Amino acid sequence: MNQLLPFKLGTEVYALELPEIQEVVENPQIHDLPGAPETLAGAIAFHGRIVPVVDLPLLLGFPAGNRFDRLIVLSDRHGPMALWIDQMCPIMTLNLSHETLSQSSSEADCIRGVLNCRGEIISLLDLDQLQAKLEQLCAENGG
Amino acid sequence: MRVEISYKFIVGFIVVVASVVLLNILVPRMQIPEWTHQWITIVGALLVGLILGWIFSKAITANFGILTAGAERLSDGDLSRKVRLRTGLFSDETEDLTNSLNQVFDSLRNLVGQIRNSSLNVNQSSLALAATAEEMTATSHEVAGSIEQISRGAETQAEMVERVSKVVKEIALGIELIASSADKLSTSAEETTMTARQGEQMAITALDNMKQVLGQIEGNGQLTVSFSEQVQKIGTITDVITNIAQKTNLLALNATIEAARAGEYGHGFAVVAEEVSKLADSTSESAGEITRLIENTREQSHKVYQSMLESIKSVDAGREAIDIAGNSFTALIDKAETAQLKAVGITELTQKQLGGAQSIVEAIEAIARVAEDNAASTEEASAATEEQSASMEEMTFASQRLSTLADELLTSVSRFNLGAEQTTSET
Repeated sequence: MNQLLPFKLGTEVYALELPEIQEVVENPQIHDLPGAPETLAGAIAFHGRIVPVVDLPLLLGFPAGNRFDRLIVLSDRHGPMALWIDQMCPIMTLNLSHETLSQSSSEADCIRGVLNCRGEIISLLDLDQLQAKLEQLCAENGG
Repeated sequence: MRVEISYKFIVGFIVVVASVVLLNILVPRMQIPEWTHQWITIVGALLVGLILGWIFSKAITANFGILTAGAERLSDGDLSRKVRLRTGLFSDETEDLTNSLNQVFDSLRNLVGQIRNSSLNVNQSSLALAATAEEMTATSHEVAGSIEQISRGAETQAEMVERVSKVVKEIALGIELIASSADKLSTSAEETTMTARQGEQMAITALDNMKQVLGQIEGNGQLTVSFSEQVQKIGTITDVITNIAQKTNLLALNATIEAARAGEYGHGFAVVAEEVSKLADSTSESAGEITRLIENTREQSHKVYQSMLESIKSVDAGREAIDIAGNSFTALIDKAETAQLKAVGITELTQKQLGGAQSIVEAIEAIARVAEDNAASTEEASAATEEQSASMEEMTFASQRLSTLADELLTSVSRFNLGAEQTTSET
């Protein structure tokens, strides 16, 4: 059994597995990072650490909508990093092996799979690809 | 020398006797036969007697013929000449008779002259009288015409006076109607005043009621405001609850995440976290429900407040309207009282007018009586003038007759010839 935390980016629904998440924080004070690319919205203080905040809709090419007041702080394996999303949905519990999981063909989408859950298309976010994209962006920015 | 006829006869007899004697003396002296003496004497005496008798008789006859002619002239009316006898040596009784006849002539001539003059005078006077009578008749005709005109005028006057009397009576009737109307007007104005006072009282009462209603509405508004504030407080509390629910939800989410990270050991904790999450969700739902209810309540109370404001406006407008109505009633009372006073004044005036009209009617009736009297008098005068006219005509006729009589008299008298000198001297 897998537990997913779905969230919305624009009209699309994305999801992360719970083990990939450290914590969900509410109304943090976001500090600006001067000289950072636009996709880095700033940084927050999280349990004594400085965690950068990624503007996920902007990074994935969605139009600028209403940003949710909650951030998803990723677990240390992918961190330290916080994702700014549009809207959060309740936790879903499902068996990923039984669900129709189609592998993504393109690596640029940062999606590692798409599942059809009760008529709703949910894309599983590929954090590795996301990290790579961010590094690439930071490199372009720094270069 | 006056000798009476008898004496003349005696003298003649004496002459005859003397001639007989004389012849008796003379004849013998002649140379003639004696026997003829007697005859000659007789014849001579006869001759003397015859001659004397012829002379005397002729003289007397002539005188009588003259007298007879005079008498005939007298009878014929010729008074121009007097009777004149042949002047003999010896006048006798015929001269006395002539004198008497001449006296008759004179007196008759005087009489006729007087009669002629008088009749001429009478004729002239009667003609003048007739002319005067005609003039008077004409004048009396004119007077009659004038009187007739006056009579017609009096009749017209009487008609006019009657008409004026009718008109004035109608005016009096109209004035009475006006008086009654003014009375009614006064009554109506009084009723209007009373009604307006009642209306004013009602307006005051309504104003008081309106003020009470306004106070109640304002109190209700205050209540609504405090109610809204209470609801607002409830909303605040609900917001707090919602916030707590969200925080609880977040805590439950994080707990679930933590439990998932803990793996098998966190399974029970995950169940608790899920339950907590469900509680937080239901709390959130309830809070949302409360919020919606509060929103509805707030909308409702806002509507109530708005309608209350409108009510206040309406009540204010009503108060103003009632104020205006009260003022209008006051003005109406003033106007009605003024109208009442005026109506009373009109009534008094119409009473006076009525008195005046009655006086006019009486005066006109007096005038009518005078006019009738005038008409009667003019009729009498007309009748009198007609009588006068008739009398005048009779008088004219009489004077004409008198003139005719005088003419006739003159004609009768003109039979008498008075002679030229007499006529000229008389005329």
